[in-house]
Amino acid sequence: MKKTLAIFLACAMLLVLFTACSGTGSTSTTAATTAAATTAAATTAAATTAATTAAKTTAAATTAATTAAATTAAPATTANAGGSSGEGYAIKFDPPITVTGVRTAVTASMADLPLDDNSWTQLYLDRHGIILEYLWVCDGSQYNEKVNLAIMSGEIPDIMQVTDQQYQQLYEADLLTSVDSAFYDYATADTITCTTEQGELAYEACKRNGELYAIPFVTLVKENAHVLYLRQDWLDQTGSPNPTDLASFEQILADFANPDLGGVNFSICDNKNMSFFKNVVCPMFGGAYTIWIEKDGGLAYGAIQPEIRDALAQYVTWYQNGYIDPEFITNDGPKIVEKIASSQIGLNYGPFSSPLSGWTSAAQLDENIEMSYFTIPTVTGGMAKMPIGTGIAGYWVASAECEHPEAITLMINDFIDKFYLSTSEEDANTYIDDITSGLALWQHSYCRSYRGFKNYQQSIDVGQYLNGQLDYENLTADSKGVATRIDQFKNGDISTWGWNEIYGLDGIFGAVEQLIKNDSYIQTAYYGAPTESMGSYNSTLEDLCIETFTDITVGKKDISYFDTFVEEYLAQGGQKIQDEVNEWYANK
Amino acid sequence: MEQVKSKTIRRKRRGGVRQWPLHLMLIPAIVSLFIFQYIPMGGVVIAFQKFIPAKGLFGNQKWIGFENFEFMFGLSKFWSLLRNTLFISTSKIILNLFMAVGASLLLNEIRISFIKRSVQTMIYLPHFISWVILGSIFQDILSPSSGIVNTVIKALGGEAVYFLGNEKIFPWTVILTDVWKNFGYNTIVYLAAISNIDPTLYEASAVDGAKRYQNIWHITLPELRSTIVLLSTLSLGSILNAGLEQILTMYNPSVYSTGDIIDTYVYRMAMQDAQYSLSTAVGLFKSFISMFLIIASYWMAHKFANYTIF
Amino acid sequence: MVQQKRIGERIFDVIIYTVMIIMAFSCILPFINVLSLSFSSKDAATAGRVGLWPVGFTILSYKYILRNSQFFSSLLVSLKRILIGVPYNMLMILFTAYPLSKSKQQFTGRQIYVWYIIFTMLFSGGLVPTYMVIREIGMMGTFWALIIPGGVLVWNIILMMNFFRSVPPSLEEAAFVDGAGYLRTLFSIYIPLSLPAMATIGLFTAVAQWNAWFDGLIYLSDPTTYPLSTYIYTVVNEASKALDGARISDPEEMRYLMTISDKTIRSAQVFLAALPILLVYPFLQKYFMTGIKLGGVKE
Repeated sequence: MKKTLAIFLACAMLLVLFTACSGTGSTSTTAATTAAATTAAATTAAATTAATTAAKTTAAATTAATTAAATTAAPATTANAGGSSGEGYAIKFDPPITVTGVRTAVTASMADLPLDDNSWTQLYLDRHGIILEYLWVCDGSQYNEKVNLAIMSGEIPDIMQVTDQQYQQLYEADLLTSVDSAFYDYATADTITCTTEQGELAYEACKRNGELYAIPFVTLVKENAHVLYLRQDWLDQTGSPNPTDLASFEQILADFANPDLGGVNFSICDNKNMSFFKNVVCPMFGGAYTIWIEKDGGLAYGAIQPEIRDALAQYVTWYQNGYIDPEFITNDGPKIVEKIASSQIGLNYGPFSSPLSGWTSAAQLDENIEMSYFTIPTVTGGMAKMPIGTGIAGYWVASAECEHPEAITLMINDFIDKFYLSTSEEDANTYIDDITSGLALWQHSYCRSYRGFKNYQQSIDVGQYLNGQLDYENLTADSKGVATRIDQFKNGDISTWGWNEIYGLDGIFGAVEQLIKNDSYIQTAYYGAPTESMGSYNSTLEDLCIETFTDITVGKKDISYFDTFVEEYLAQGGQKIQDEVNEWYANK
Repeated sequence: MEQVKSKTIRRKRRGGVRQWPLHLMLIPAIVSLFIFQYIPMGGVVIAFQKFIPAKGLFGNQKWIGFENFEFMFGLSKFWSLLRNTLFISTSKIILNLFMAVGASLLLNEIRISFIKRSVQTMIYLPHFISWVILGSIFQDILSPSSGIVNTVIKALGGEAVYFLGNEKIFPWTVILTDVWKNFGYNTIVYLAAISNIDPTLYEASAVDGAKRYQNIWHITLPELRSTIVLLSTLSLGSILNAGLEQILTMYNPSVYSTGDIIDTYVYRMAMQDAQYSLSTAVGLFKSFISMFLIIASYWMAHKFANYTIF
Repeated sequence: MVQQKRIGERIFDVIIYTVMIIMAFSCILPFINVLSLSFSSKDAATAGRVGLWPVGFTILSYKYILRNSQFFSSLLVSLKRILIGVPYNMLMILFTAYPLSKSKQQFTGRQIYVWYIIFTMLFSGGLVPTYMVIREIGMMGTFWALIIPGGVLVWNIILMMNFFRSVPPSLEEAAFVDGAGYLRTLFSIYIPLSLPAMATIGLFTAVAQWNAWFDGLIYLSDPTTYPLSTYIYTVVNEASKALDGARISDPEEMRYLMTISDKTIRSAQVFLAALPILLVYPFLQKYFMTGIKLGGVKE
C-alpha cells in the first residue's frame, strides 16, 4: 500500500514537472478586449479625420506663436501656455492601433491600479486611438537586465526605453527604425520648446548620421547643478564671511570645524567616492572631473587634467588641517545624511532637491536651523562653471517592426501637455497627483520627456504667487501643490519646511538662478555612444582614480605622484579610450 | 561513517534484482536537473565570444576564443583579487567550522532546557538580517571615533583601530563578522547530527567513568566527523565566492588591495556595461577551480582514509 | 576525588553557560536595534539616534509596506510557494538522497549519479541561458517558474544522504528479511529515524523558499504576482532612492519618496522576513534538541 502510494507520488511529481512546463505564461493584458469594445464605439467624426491632416504643423504653429514669443533663454511662462487646447494633439488613428511596450513598475502604493487600464492609457486611446499593451513589467532595479534578456531572445516590443549602450547595439544590429520624421513631424512646438530649454545637446547625442534613431528622455542637468548648502545660523554664530572665493571658503571651513557647533572637529563630510572633492573642489579650481573637455584641438578626460592636481593639492592641505572627516573613506551617502540630520555638519552641497532629504530631518530636530545657498566660487572670486552631461535619462526607441513610431512623440506631447502646461485642477487630479489619495498618477504615463527648467519656472511662479503678483488659479496644477505646501509651512507645519527652502522666496533657486542666467556650465564635449574600450577599461580607470586620490589625500602618497598617476591612467586603457573619443570628434 | 561490507547471499540477490526502485526514484531529479541545469550549461560558450545582446543568444556572435580569459589573467589586479578571494574564503570556512561545531557542542552540554532553546534561537537571528543593514550597523559599531568596540579598546588603554578602513585589518573584519552572522544557522545541522548519535555510546562511557569533556572528545566529535568532512568539502565548491553582498556593503577604495575579491571587481565592471562574456568567463574559471578542489579532496579521502565523502 | 570532580564539572558548566549567553546577547542586540529602527520615526532614524529602543515611536514603515492589497496577495503567493514548493523539494530530496545513500555494492551506478548531481552545483550556465530555457518551456511569467527550476536542491540532498547513511544497516537488513523492498524501507524505517534531519532540511528549504526574491524579479512579468520577498525588495528599493538626492533624475519622485526613510523600511523588512521563521522555529526545535528514536537502536 505504501509502496503504491510512493510510486503514485513520484509519478505525480513527474507530472507536475511536465504540466508546468507546457503551461503558457500568459502575459497579455486585458487591454486588447477593452480595446475591441471601444473600437466599435469609437468616434469617427469627420472632425477628427480632418484634424489628422490639419493638425500636423499648422495648428501647432499657431499655438507655438503665442508661447514662442517669450522664449529665448528664459523658460516659457505659464501665462501663455496653450494647455490642452486639442490642437496639435489630435492626431488619431482610426481604427485604433496597438503598440507594445515594456516598463518599470510603479511604486508599491499604486499597485492596486491596473497598468493597462488607467487615466493615461485612456487618454492615449481617446486622443490618439493608441492601445498600449505591456509585454512585461519589471522592478526598476532589474529593468536593464530584463531588457537585455528580451533583446537576446528577440522579443523586442514596439517602443521601449533603453540605455545608451543598448541603443548603440540595437542601432548597429539594424533592429531599430528611424524616428527622425516621427519626432519632427509630430512634436508640438511646446514639446520642442520644453525639451530643448537646456539646449539641443540631448537631441544631437541621439542622432546617427544626422538622423534621430532614438528620442531622448530629456532630464534635468542645468537646474539641478550643485550649489553649496550652508547653515546660516552657524554663519551668524561664527561671523564667517560668505563663500565668494577660496579664502572666504577656507575661513568657513576653519570656523565650522568647531566642536561647539556640531560636536565634531571637522567641517567637510566626504564619502568613499570623494564626491565632495569631485563636485565642489574640482569646479572651484576650474576642473571638470566627470566629463570630456576640449583641449588642444581634441578631447581629453577631465579627471587627469592639471586643474584636478591643483584641487587635490588644496584638498590635501585641508585634510592635514583636520577640516575633512578622517572617516570619509568608509562613509557612504546615508552616513553623510546622518551627519547633516543630526546637525553635526553645517556645510554640504547638492542639487535643488536636497533640502528634502537630510536637511529636512535636521529641521525637524533643530529649530534654530536657517539655510543659505551659494554657487560654488572659483579660487579668485567668481562663479565656478559646473560640469554637466547630456541630460539624457534614457533613449526611446522604436523597433524595426514598429509600424507607428510616431506614437512615441504623441505620448510625449500628451505628457508635456498635462504635466507642464495644463492649469486645470481636474487634469491635475486625473493625470498627475490625486489629492485625495496622494497617489502619483503620472507614473502611469509611458513615453515621457522632461522640461528642462520646469522647477526653475515653478520657483518663479510660486514666488510671484507668494508676492501676491500671481493668482493661485493661474498656477499650473503641479505648482498649486507646491504653493499649498509652502502655505502649510507658513502656517506652522514644519514637515513641509523643505518645500519652502526649494521654491519659496529666499530659497535655493536664488543660487541656481545665478547659474542659469550666467550659463555657468561646461557641457561634456563627448556625446557619442559608449566606445568599445570604455566598456573594458572604465571601471579599472575609475578605481585607479579614486584609489590614487584617496591615497594622496590621506598622505599615503605625495601630491607629486599625480604625474605618475596620469601616465598610469593612460597606460591602463585611458589612451585607447581617448583615441576612440577623438576619432569620433574628428568625424563629427 | 564506514559502510558495513557484509557479504551475505541475501545482499547479492537484492543487488541484482530489486535495484530498479532505486533507479526509478532518481528519475525526477535527473530529469529536472537535466532541463534546468545541464541544458543551460551550453550557455558557457558566451565566455568564448564577444557577446552582444542585440545579436541574440544564438545569433552571429564573434568568436574570440580565450581572449576573455587572457584579459582576465592579464589584469594587473587579477592575482591580488584571487589571493584576497582565497584568503577570505578559506578563513571563513575554517572559522565558521570551529565556531559552529564548538557552539553546537557547548549547546549540547547545556542542561537547562529553557536556556538551551533561547540561546539557540538568539544565535540564529543574525542570519536573517541582510548585509545591507548589518553593513550600516557595523559601520557604527566599528567606527574609530564613535563606535562601541573602539570605545572599549581605548578604555582598556589601546589605540583606536580603523576596522573598515585599514587594509591590513579589513579582511579579518569581513571574516569575523561573517562568522558571527552565520555560525548560529550552521549549528542547526550539527545539532541535528549530534541528536543522531546513539545514546548507548554515552551510557557505556558513563559506566567507564568518563568525564564530560572526555565524552565530547572521544564520542561526539568522532561521530560528527562525517558531517564535518562533508560540509567542509561541499564548501570547497564555493571557495571562490568570498561573500559578494557582504563585501559590497562593507568595502571602500582604500581597502581594495586586500578586500577586493573577484566577484566585487566583476560587479563593478558589469555596472558599466553588461559584460556578459567576461562575467561568464570568470564564472567558468571559478567553477573549474572548485571542481578541481572537490575532486582532489574526494580522491584523497578515498585513497588515504578509504572513505567516500559522498 | 568526587568533590574535585563535581567542582570541575561545575566550573565547566559555568564557563559554558557564560560563553553561550554572551554569544547569544551579541547576536540578539543588533536584532533589537533593527527592530527599534523599524518602529522609529524617519527623522530619528536618519539622524542615527536610534539605539536599543525606538525613538519617536511610529508604525509608519509597517503601514507603508502593508498598506496595499498587494502585500496580502504577495503574502498568499509566498504561502502558496511554501505549501507547494517545500513538499515538492522534500520529496525530491528524499527520493534522491535515499538511493544515493546506498553503497556502491548495493546500488550499481551510484557513483555516476552522485557526480551527476554534484556537477550541477559547480557548473552553471548563468542567468542568460537559464532564462532562455525557462522561456522556451513556457514557464516565463508563471508561478511555476518559482518552484520547478529550483526544485532540486543539491546541497540539501547531499546532507540528507549523509544522515541516511548513519542509519545502521542492520535495520534495513532486518526489513529485507521481512520481505520489504527499498521503497517500503524508506518510509517505514529511514524517514521515522531521520526526523531531526528532516526537520533541519525542511526548515532550510522553507527559509530558502520564503526569502528567495531574485527569481520572482526576473521571471515574473506582472508585479501583482510577486511573492512577498520580491515585493518587499521593491518597496525597500524605492525607499533607498530617497536618500541620494543627486540621483533623482525624476523630480516628481521626490515628493512621494520623502515621506519614508530607507532605514526604517529596511528594518521593517528584516523583521517581516524573519517573523514567520521565528514563529515556526520553536516548534521544530525539539527535533534538533533531543534525539527522536522510535524503537531504539541497540547494537
